[in-house]
Amino acid sequence: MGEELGALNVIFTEFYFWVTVVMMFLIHVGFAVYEVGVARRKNIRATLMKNIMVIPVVTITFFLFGWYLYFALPNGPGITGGIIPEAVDLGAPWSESMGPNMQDRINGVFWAAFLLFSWTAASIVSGAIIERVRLGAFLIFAVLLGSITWIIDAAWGWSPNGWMVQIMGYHDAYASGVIHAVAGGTALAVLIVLGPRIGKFGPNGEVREIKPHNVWMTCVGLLLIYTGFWGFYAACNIPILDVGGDSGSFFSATNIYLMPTTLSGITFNFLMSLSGGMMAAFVLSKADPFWTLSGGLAGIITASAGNDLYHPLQAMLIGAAGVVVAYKLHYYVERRFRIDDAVGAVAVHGYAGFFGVVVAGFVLWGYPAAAPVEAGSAWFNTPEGFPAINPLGNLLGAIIMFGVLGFLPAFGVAKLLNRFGLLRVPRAVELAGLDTHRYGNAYPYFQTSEAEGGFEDEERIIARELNQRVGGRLDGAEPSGSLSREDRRALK
Amino acid sequence: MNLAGTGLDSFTDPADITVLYPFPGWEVLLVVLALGLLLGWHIVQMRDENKEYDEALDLYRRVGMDRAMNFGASERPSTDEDIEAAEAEVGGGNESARATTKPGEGDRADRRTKK
Repeated sequence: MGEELGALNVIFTEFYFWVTVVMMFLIHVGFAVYEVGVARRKNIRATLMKNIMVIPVVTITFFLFGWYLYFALPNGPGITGGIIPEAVDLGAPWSESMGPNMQDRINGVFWAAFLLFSWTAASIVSGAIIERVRLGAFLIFAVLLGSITWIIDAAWGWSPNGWMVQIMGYHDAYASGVIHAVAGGTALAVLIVLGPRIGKFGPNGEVREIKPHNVWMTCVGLLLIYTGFWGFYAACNIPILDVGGDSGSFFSATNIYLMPTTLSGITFNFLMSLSGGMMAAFVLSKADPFWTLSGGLAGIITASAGNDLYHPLQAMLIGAAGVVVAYKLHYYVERRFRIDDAVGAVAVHGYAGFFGVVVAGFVLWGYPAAAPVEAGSAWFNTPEGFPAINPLGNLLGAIIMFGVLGFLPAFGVAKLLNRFGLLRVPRAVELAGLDTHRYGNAYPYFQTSEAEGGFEDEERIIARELNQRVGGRLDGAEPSGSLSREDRRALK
Repeated sequence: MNLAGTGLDSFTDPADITVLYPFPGWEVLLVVLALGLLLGWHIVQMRDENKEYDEALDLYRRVGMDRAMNFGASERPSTDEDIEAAEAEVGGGNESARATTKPGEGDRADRRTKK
């Protein structure tokens, strides 16, 4: 009987993660719809293809090396130990467990659950840099983030044996930092090197609004992301585990650190943090639909670090506070540093995620972070010798996620691509629209005036200036930001 | 008959079965092949993208940015007269080319002819 129950548990767990993968697919659908809605009509199909190609490119690279990194690098290496040799058996692409195997029912679905997080991370960056990034450059960032940096941070801070958990007491149950802050940091780095879209900032630095071509699509996209987020939350848990310890068996769901929580509890907190975020964003944005829905997302993201343990009203308040931080910082950074984040991804994911990790360190101060690999070796310990969650560990953890693993590698790669002129599309292509030559009009049967906001007229003035300045050649001298190889060639 | 000994010829004792896929032992070769294909795909994609921009810029230089920007979302469908006039202007379009274009290329040929 015990053997049968054990088998049932394994097969239930296999099915559980399989279902989360299906649900999480909706996150990607949502991101695609949302990004396409934000893009102007001249960029619709290029924007769609950019997002869609995340799926095969990140999937293949995550199979080839991403999954191995998760098992190989919890110790750093060089911080709490070396590269873990057993990682080859679990995650190397030639391992027998990386395929249909009658003795392993978990590896594939667990791999897929993490892979869907990878798509999400890459999609977060995708939205921020629309309408001017080269597809080839973006796909390199997608691999960097989706199959390298995020999975390294997961090995460090989202694994019961990760050095950040074991030493710092880092706690981030639903990936405020592990997914969202690292993706936000990556997006910010790319945006700095890439530069704003043509016309986003006026000659005196004034910020102009580039309106979405379809507000409803952006809203439906965000609602789809909410839906997929349920799968994301479920996938962050182990559904059934004996957490009884010395007092006998006690079966419960656990978080990724194998510490107990309940699906019921996280359901409270998911919805309450979503609601807190929406309420705050509604007020701040004066009922703007795009920001109200983005605020819901930012609310969940802020509370996610501790949503395995918070009271629902704590989750609501933390979610609301995170939205205030994200919204205010978004517009401050936009004005002050001329960062053109087309969808507010750095704010909603990066700033909210960072803030959420820091808050969790204070609110959950003293809770056990994970079972110790070596009792008492953490900076702060519980009375039983478990690494304890604490503000310092989570603050440093947030910096590592956003800055060290998110910002720095992406900034280096962006600089490298920029050096070869392979980061941004030529200015003339950007002005004409990324769809124009390759795809054409995405809505051939709709007749509307593109000059509704007066923005396209301004683009035409810029285009004429470019033509006149170099005797008909397109030199791409304006505005600031990365220059394509084609524009550099024209300037010579 | 076990065709070429691909791996399994019986499911009668599933507890003893490990991998289910054919040709176990060739995994490393498959990984090398996949890595090569992946790198090759990225190279082809970047070359194709560079070529696409070169072609687009060439066209935009010939027709001017004002018209290039009209090729996009705000363009109205062209009449036959418009198409002929634009073809004469850019000097690149022709009926036979449009008649023999592959899927996807037709759009591009048509767009070249719009005002």
